[in-house]
Amino acid sequence: MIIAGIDIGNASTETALARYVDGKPEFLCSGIVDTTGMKGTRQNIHGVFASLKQALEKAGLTVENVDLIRINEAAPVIGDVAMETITETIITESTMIGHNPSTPGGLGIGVGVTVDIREVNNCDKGESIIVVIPREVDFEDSSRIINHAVNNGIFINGAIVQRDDGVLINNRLVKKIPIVDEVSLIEKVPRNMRAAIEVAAPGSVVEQLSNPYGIATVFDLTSDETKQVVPVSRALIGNRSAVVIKTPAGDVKERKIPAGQIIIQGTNKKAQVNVDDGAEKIMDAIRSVAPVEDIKGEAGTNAGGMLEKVRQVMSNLTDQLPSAIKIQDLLAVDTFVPQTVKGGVAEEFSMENAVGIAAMVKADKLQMNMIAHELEAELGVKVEVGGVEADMAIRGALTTPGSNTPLAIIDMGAGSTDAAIINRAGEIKSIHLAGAGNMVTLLIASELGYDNMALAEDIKKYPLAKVESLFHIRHEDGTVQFFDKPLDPRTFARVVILTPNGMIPMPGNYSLERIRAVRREAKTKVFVVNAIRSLERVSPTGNVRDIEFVTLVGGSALDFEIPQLVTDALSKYSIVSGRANIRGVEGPRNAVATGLVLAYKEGE
Amino acid sequence: MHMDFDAPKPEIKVVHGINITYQKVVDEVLHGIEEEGVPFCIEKLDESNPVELAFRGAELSHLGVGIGITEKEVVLHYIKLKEDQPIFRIPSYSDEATLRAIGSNAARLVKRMPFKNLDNTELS
Repeated sequence: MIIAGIDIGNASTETALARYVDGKPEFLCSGIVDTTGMKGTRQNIHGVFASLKQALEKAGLTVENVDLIRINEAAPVIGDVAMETITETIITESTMIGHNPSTPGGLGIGVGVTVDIREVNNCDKGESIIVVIPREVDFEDSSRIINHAVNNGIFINGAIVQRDDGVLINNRLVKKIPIVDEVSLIEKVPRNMRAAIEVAAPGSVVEQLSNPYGIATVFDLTSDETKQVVPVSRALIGNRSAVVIKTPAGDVKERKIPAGQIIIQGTNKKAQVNVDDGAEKIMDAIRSVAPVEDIKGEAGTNAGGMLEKVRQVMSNLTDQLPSAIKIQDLLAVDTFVPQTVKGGVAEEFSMENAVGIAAMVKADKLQMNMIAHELEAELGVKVEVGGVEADMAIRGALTTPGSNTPLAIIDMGAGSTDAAIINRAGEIKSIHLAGAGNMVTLLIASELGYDNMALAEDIKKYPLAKVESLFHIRHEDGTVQFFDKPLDPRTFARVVILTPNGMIPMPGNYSLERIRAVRREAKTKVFVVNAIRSLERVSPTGNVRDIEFVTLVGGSALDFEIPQLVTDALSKYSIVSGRANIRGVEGPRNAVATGLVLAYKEGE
Repeated sequence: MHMDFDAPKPEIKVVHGINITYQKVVDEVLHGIEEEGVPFCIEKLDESNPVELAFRGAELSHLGVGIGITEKEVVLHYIKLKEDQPIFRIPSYSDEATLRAIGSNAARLVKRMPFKNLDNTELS
């Protein structure tokens, strides 16, 4: 008799195919495809077909050979993620240009009044000015005008240039001045205002303008005014060139955006917490009221909107009223988001604080029976809904060589992190938590400022390298790899993602170290935190230390570094943990599908 | 102590034909190199194949980077590449920004910086 166990997960649909001989299962093949549609919905059927077909083809069988299909009683858990920025920087009346053109011109610091280059000849002898050079004036004309004006006794102390012309102008000047180029929105630079320009030597960073007292010195500021320029100087730290323009009402503010409150309703207690207090406070509140029944956001605020959106999505998917959807766990993570400074002139950005949130919703019940009926009708094979997902996963995990009861598993998927524990008596306890692979992707995308989720997904999944010449790359660990053919010029000198389909060059100027740090940080913030959180909840004593063995299963356990990060963190609690190897061949995949097949024997 | 090994200067070689009528094209390419701050020098050769000129430049250049310019084409070449497979080639009637960008890219090849797009915008 041939049995197929099929597990519909958030991200993938897996099949385990086995032949029962004398009441003993002999596993034939496995299949894996992407889950079609949201887990627990009618759209899943296509994925189930494809997954089953894949396994059957490998085994050289057809649907007619299958006697029974068992699908999982999917834990009705669906996760969603959202991000809320909680600070912003606003510049009223543009006052700073802090950007890093790759080739600024000249050197030093210059102070003067901003004047359009075409009006320089109207200036009086002895005046100190900073020339503003828009796109229409080319470098030859600019340098001629400046040289001429200097000859006439006008002090030209610096230049702000729209084109990438800084070095060209500088090379043609008699008297050298600091020049900041590639200022895209030059029309926004206010004219007839006092300005200071600083260009540091190659390999150095601006010192005067990144220091509040330095700005105070240049502009003769009072102590109160100096306090106001702190955000400006902060934003300029680390740049090779900078411009600060003093306008009468100019001001830079760092503002907290009121994001609203989150209301956590526990079985016995209730807690309220401000989103802008940060992730730590939110997680403390959740821990204090556990077990959580529902989480709501304050109406009319961003927090409210964020949580209601999650509820709405779930309600559409499960065909239930939004009021029946309960958010039963939430993972909040502090993060940074690069945001364009409002009022900036050269598309400056500053790193703003943000809170990322993953929410987990338990619906009443997913439509698994409906899926089973439709499958049965279409395939003409008996389909039954097998046992509880967590039980099946444990049964599958126990096929890992070297494992035995008592055993805990952490199932790290895309939408949720689930944990289950089995004791010597065979009793199983399980828990579902918000936050998993999708949350990691969101954190990577937002911290690097990418809108492109597919790119963030690739950063999460694959290692990085730096293309060092047209013929070689240096991997994250420093090893060098050479190629016979020249690499694509688009990847030259860039950080690339080494996907199975080739190298993807990364946009922007991030260093390999920075991207790697963001990636590992995001994985730690989600999976290490959730591993400990989930084990705390299933531990018979409530203490993580009382668990001895943990296996990691699920799609995210396949990741090239998540299992190591978790293993490392759990070893501090003297827990033996590692990636599962289902049936000794499948790695961390196929646990539930395998469990479904095995459970048949026991008549469950 | 004064040391003089008579080593050739590290320069990008820009090579063009003799008796040229396209000085403007050469100038823009040179501006691109100059803006990036890399030394360069100009050679004249009696040759009308731009790829050949560029590769000759790469051979002559101590940095291994050459640009060949003819009436028709501007070609950027690197000594380690196959002679018939240059990195970039653009028509000489390209606009100023593109001509400058190919000059910048020659310099960036030396500096190991990401190339500009050939419309003179930074790749992003």
